[in-house]
Amino acid sequence: MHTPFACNSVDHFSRRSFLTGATGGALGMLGFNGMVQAKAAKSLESQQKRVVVFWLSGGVSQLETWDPKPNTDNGGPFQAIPTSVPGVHISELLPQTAQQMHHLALVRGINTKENNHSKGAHIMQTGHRQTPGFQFPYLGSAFSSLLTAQDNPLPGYISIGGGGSAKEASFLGPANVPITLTGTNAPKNLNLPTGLTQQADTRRRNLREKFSKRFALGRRSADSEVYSSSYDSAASLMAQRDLFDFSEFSAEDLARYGTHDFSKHCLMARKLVEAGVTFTRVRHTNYDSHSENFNFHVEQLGEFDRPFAAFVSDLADRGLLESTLVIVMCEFGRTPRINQRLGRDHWGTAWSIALGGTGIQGGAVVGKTNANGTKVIDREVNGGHLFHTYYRAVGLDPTDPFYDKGRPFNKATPETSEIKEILA
Amino acid sequence: MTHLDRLPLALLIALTITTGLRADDAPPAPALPKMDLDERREELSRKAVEFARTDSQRAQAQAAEATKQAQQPAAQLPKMQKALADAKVAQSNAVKAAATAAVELTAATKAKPIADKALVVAKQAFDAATKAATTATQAAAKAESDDKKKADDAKLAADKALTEKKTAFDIATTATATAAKRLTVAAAGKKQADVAKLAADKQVVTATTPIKPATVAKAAADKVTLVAVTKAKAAADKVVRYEKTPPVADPKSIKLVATWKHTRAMIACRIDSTGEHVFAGAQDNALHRWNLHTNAKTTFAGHKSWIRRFALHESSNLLVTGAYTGRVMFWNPLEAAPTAKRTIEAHKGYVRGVAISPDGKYVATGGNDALLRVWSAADGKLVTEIADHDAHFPDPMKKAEDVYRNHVYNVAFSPDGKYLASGDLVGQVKLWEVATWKPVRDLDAGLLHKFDPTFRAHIGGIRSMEFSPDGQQLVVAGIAKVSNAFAGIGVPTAVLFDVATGKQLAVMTSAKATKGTLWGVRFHPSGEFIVGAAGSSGGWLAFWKTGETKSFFDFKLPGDGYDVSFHPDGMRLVTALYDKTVRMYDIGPKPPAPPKKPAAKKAAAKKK
Repeated sequence: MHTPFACNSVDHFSRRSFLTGATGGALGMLGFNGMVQAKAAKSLESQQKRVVVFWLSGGVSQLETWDPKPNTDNGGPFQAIPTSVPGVHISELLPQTAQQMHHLALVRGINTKENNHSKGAHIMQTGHRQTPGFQFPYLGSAFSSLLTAQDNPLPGYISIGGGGSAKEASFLGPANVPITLTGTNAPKNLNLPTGLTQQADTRRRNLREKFSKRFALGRRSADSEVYSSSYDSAASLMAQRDLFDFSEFSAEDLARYGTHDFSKHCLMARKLVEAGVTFTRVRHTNYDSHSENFNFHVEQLGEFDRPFAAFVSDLADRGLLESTLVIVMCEFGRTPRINQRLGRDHWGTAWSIALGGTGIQGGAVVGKTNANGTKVIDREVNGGHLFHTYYRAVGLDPTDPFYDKGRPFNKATPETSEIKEILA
Repeated sequence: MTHLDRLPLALLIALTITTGLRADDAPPAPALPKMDLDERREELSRKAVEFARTDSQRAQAQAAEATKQAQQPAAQLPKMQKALADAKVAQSNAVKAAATAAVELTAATKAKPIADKALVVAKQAFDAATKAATTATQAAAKAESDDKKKADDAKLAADKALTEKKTAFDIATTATATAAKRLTVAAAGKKQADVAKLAADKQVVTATTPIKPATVAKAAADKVTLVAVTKAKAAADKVVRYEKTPPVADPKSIKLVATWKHTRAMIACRIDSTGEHVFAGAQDNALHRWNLHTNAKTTFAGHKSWIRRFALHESSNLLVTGAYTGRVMFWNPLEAAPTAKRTIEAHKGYVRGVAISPDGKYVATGGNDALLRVWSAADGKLVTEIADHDAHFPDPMKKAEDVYRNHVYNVAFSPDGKYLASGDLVGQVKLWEVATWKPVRDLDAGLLHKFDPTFRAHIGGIRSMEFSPDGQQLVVAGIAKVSNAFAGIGVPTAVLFDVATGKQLAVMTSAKATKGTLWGVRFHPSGEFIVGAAGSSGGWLAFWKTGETKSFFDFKLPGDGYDVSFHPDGMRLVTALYDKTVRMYDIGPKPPAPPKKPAAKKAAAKKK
């Protein structure tokens, strides 16, 4: 199988050569075990932007979150509550998040014209509609590729709570494929198998590396590169098992975030941000409430609100929000019309996301829907606008294309542009 | 056959077993003397006859009133129509007269210049003749001997001619004057005729205008009268039938008899014990009351969110509503312009269940904060708070322990006031002794709950709950066997319990309503059967004989049904529907089919 990846990019050489060592020597010689120190991580974080996406899988209802319409035919039974931003109201189901709204901006005029789960997810994660014969990279892989500092040994893209596949990286290569953590555990097999000492492991690696180099002299190809690099990735992951040690959150943290799975996922995300992981996606499932929309949003947002608010608050307190872009999104919103099962159905026509952090004006609101949420009436935007905005927020130029084997590909659709109203 | 033989065998057996009591139970409350089925049926029949009589009286009065109201439009219309006919005749005459006058004017106009011209000619002739006569006279005077006679003759002739011409001139002058006068008269006559025609046209318009509205009004009045008279006849017939044969409810005869329309989906309904009103909650912020007879609608405004459950205690004139904001309000249910008498912040999150004790002392509420609270009806103060429901909340997937609680979905007092039941999200039903607020026993309807591992959410809840009229049984309803919580794929299900032992007597499902939720469930006042309102591919009413597991009859509703309530006579019920209506259905015994008329029989025979 041919593996497309950026063989000729600077990115390819620098990271890969770092991982294997410029001399092609053994990993052990670089003292990898010593690389993951808190100090090393800290020196990286001040230089590198990070992105965290909270993916509310299934499509959260904008009417039960960011754009409530109480007392209308479509509004449902919940009230709107004031937030820390005067004049801005969100749903009563997010009372803690409401206190953090000064760190967050709202985009309320999204019309992606897409009601299908996978197509909607594709638009929101790549900024493009699906194109036959070509896969745009997902934003996790893109930012992993573009933002990761030269000397950052950490994985560029970690996915928490499920989801994430190799295809997301497209031509950006295996270094930008997400590592998926399920449950609240570290990746499997981080530790050496019993009976194998670190010394023995190093000797085995050296031997494998020797054979690889010899093979490559005559028959180097992208496939063999991938194969080799997967060993290197595994090795680097194993060297960072401290990063993935989620067993000991403080009692204080657990009291503030809660002890359920999503609480811990938020704490994990905070740790990864602090350590300097470029892109983290936290999935919270599920929101596809075609039946009992109100009961299920009480339940799911009840899980989401406190730990998410604590996460934003902690990032702000620790000075990390200035260099981290936080996005809360999903594949689409939910219909204003309440169906006979007290549910709401798929709705890409008039919905919202929230985002904040680096490059984003906290407290800003752009876009408006009409009185009962059936239509965008002001500043309609789609996935393209959002992607221009994300790139600008982290200090990148979205009009500067990707190159795959010399062919340019847009980072964001050229007919759209950034949403200036929410950029700081 | 004794009354005991009428009860389903299973029920009979269950009642003779006393198992399932907790070891540390207080001795069971003294059993209420069981009114047997026959007695209840008789009482209901009596009630049904009484209601039929009062309904009939009311219907006759309404028919009389409608007939009276229809008299005026009935009398008015023919008068108006005659006035129009007369106006049309007058118009026709005026048209004719105007035409005649026009003709005359044309003729007069033509005649005058002719007369004028004739006058000119006559004058010329006269002038000529005058001149000739003068000349002849002069000649005669001058003429001598032989010429004189000629000249005299000529003069005579000229004088004669002059006389003729003068006469002609005089005639022509008179004719001219006549023609002028004729023209003047004709012009005036036409003007008058035109004015008269305009007036006649206007009169026709004036006579036409009120006719259509009067026709419409008469048609409407006639329709109202027809409906009222038909209703009155049916009501009178019903009295005759019910008096002849004590009526027993027959769900299979179900027939729509009234529809009340609203602007939002209706989510709760209840008829009061006088059969005067239906109270209903909707997907808006108010409780609504319709008068079953006059259809007058009254709104209880004050809440800020939906009202799914409310309770009535009529002898204390008390209505208590609970809304999704967590607030409870007290009202006078019969007020013409209702205002809340008391407001209580009863729960954090939804108020899901509201009940009033039969003695009117206590108001019980259950909410999203997993609490059962009891309030004094007299002063709104908290009497007791029970937090036991939370202890049973399973937390299989490490969900938010402090946020998502075991919601208390419904509360109900037993008819004798001795027990309070509370039912929750996970299908636990707890019985409390009202005298002490101590727990009596738990009833397990856990099959009405599931944690869906795909969507990581809880689906279930005791959506509706009611004690049987004799207090011996409790029925609860919700959704079971959920395969996809977020698509609402599960089975509408009810569970019947024996209160004394806590045993499940039957798990009830519908033959037709097979996918969705059983939102409302009620005992028929006889206790004989149970009705459920289901949302399931559209809506259904399902009917079960008490104690049986499969419905004996299912009726398709025009929309998903969220609640159901019986009329105190047991011969009617109301439902609250997704299609924004509250609908009343009659389930009284069907009137016998009218006998075939002999003429129709002959015609049918002929056709063969």
